[in-house]
Amino acid sequence: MSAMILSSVLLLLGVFINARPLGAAENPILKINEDYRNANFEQALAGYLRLLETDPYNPSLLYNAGNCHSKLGHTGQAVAYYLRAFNLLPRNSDIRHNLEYVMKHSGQSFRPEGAPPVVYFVYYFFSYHELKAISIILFWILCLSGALYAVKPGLRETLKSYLAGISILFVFLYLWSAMRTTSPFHNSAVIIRPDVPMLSGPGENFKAYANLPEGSIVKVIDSNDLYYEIGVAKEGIKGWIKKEHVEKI
Amino acid sequence: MNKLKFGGYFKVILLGLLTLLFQNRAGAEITFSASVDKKTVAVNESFTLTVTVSGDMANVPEPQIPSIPDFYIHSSGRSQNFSIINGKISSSVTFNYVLTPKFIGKKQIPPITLFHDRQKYVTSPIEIYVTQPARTSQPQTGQPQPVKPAKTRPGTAQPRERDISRDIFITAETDKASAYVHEQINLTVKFYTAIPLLGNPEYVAPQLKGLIAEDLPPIRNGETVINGVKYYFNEIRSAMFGIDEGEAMIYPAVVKAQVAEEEDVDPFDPNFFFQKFFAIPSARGIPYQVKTVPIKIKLKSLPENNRPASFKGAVGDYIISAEIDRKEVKAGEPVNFSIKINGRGNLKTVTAPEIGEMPDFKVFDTMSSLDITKHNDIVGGRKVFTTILIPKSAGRRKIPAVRFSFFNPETKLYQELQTSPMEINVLPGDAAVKQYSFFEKQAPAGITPVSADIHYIMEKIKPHFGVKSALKISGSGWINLAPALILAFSILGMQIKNARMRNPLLLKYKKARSNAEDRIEKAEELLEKDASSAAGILYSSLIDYLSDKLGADIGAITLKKTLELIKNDYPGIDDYVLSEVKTLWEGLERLRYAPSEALQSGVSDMITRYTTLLDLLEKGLKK
Repeated sequence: MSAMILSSVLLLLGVFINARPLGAAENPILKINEDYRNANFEQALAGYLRLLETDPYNPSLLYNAGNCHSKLGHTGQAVAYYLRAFNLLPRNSDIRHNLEYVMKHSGQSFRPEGAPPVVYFVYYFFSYHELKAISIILFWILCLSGALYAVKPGLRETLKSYLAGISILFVFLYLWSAMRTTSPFHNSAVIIRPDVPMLSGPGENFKAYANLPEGSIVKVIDSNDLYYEIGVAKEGIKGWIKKEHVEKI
Repeated sequence: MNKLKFGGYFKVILLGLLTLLFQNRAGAEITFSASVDKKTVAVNESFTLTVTVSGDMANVPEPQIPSIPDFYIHSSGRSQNFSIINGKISSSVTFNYVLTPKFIGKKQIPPITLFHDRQKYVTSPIEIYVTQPARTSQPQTGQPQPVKPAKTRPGTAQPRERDISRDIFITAETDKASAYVHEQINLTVKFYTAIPLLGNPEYVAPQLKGLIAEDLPPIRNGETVINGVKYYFNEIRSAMFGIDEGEAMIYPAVVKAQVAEEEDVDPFDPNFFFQKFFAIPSARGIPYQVKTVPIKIKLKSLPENNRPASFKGAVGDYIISAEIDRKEVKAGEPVNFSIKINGRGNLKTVTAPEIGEMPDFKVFDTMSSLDITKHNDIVGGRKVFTTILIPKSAGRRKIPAVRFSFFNPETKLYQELQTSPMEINVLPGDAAVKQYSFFEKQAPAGITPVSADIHYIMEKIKPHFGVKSALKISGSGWINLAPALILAFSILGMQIKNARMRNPLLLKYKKARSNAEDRIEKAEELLEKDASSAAGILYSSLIDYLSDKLGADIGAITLKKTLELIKNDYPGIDDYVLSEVKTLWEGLERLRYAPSEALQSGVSDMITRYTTLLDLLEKGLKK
């Protein structure tokens, strides 16, 4: 419980406040950055992946690994790493730019046609996890305030408007996070090999009826040991692809 | 009258707005196409992809070239033309790219995309048949083929101790170690191989600091002998232009190749090469990477001395000319005044020369077109700045000379050129003034993006506490049921409390025994110290217990009436229980007046009797 309270405080602080970067002396990143600067992209990638082993949800490291993959021509992996970074920190302009760039170069559109850029930016300002976490915190506040309302009749007048405000905010955020589950970036996977065949069933004996280009973002519907059932919303098709051909986000 | 006049103006404005709207709609028409100069090429040849964008607009957007994994692609320049006829602007831009295949087979250039005015334009994919190189031709571009060395290299008699670094290497050199800002510097990267490669090598262009680059296609290849060893080489050239004075840097260019693992072959065998060649299909590939050393370039600032007032940063060697599209016009009709700058240098950075004051003309925005050429690896071409002038009144009107200056890095001198002044005969204009689709001269255009790339890495890695906390909270699971349970219990508790408040008699009935037991305990505690008070507590406890159970104030009625009340309310109650009630009641009353020495033992007996009676009453007084 105390860990959750601490996390809540850190979440609220961390959404808006940039934390202090590591100092130069304790920072192993300098050498890796130098490798990248000198176009040693493979060494730089190995370095970033090493750091990601201990800090797998760091958007900066995921973004940098995406940059290395992009420079090495691994379009699929670049999309996958940028998408992971985007799912964690969608309001970062660098992450957005690079994801948009690699998506465009793999024949995809980051923003749906006709969607106003400002609306799209606001819609993706918070990550899905942040929306869910804020909803959970509001749920706690709402329930505990509700309990207080039930057991302390004397406080009811004071709590009434406060509870109404929190309820509206909670419903709004809950709906927002629920809508985000329909986003093409939620529960998605990225094709990491060129021209991956999409099969009509989970096995080699099923017919391949479409080839998916490298870097395509697909929606994961179901899975078994070897295959994912995936959907491609734009074309309105679904099928099965081997797990080794995609990177689950 | 005034009202009618206002209505008339309103109609004119509305008509004007509709006209503008219509013109904008018409201006959105774009023709977008892609073509190649040949559809069948050998793997060692190059071909040209031409992408043409044309439409009724001043600024033509640049097409988005998709990732083309089967080809090396280099920009070989662009050429732009636009025309202004009766105020209507139409442009056509041709983007040229040189493509070199990487692999043999049927390959495809994917659709090229163009975005303009929220519209997406796409070309059709183009299929290219890449064939084997002709037997007599040079080895494949980008895929050096194995050859028999001209001379066996000393040391190759030890095949196990293979030194790949002597078989494959890469060099990079510039034609200048220092240059003026915006002066062309040619970078030549050469990849040499003396052994067969598995697949095609991959080239990663160098990163640049303080320089911008222009491709100089196509990739050249050939063979050469170095220290008696025959190598095939591929040569990639680029033109660099310094941005600012100081030290610029060309970071390493990288080539990645798959080298066949060495087989047991006799290097002295006359068929050494063929043994190696035919060993390839079964050979395992070893990834091998070579890179160039970083190159520093010193960029010199342009001299301050003798710098003309008209100098705006152009570096190269240019000539200038000017022309007007007609020499006689009516007042109010447009004339296109074009200044042409031809020569060598980075024309992308050349800005429009200042046109002097022309009080006789209304001066509109200047548009530019650019044709870039790269003949003999020298970047140059032609840039045309066209300004629309509208003479205000009739008469012979003068267009003054335009001055243009540049710095020539070869002579190390500034040169100033000027056009000849021109004269236009302006005839009296028509009363009706036409609407034109260009706009009055505004502030100079800002930075024009010439290409796009991913943003640089994040050099400072932040801990991102907020992101991680969000992940922890959003994955916290069942613990989030806790507040819901707290809320549910609180509501349940309150409902129970409210129900009790609504029926106090029932509450008293239910709590009668526990209240009585509490007071028995209290009496026991007081027994030794103050037996009289203990007796009083027991007596009042019995009265209260019976009152709670019967829902009546027993203290106000006699024992006899109480017993009758019990019998009425609970007809099934045992007579023994009633007699025990009577005995206890009377006993407690007696004890209140008993002498102190007999009191303690009497109260103790009454406690025992009362405790036993409580069990009997609980059974007998059940509703």
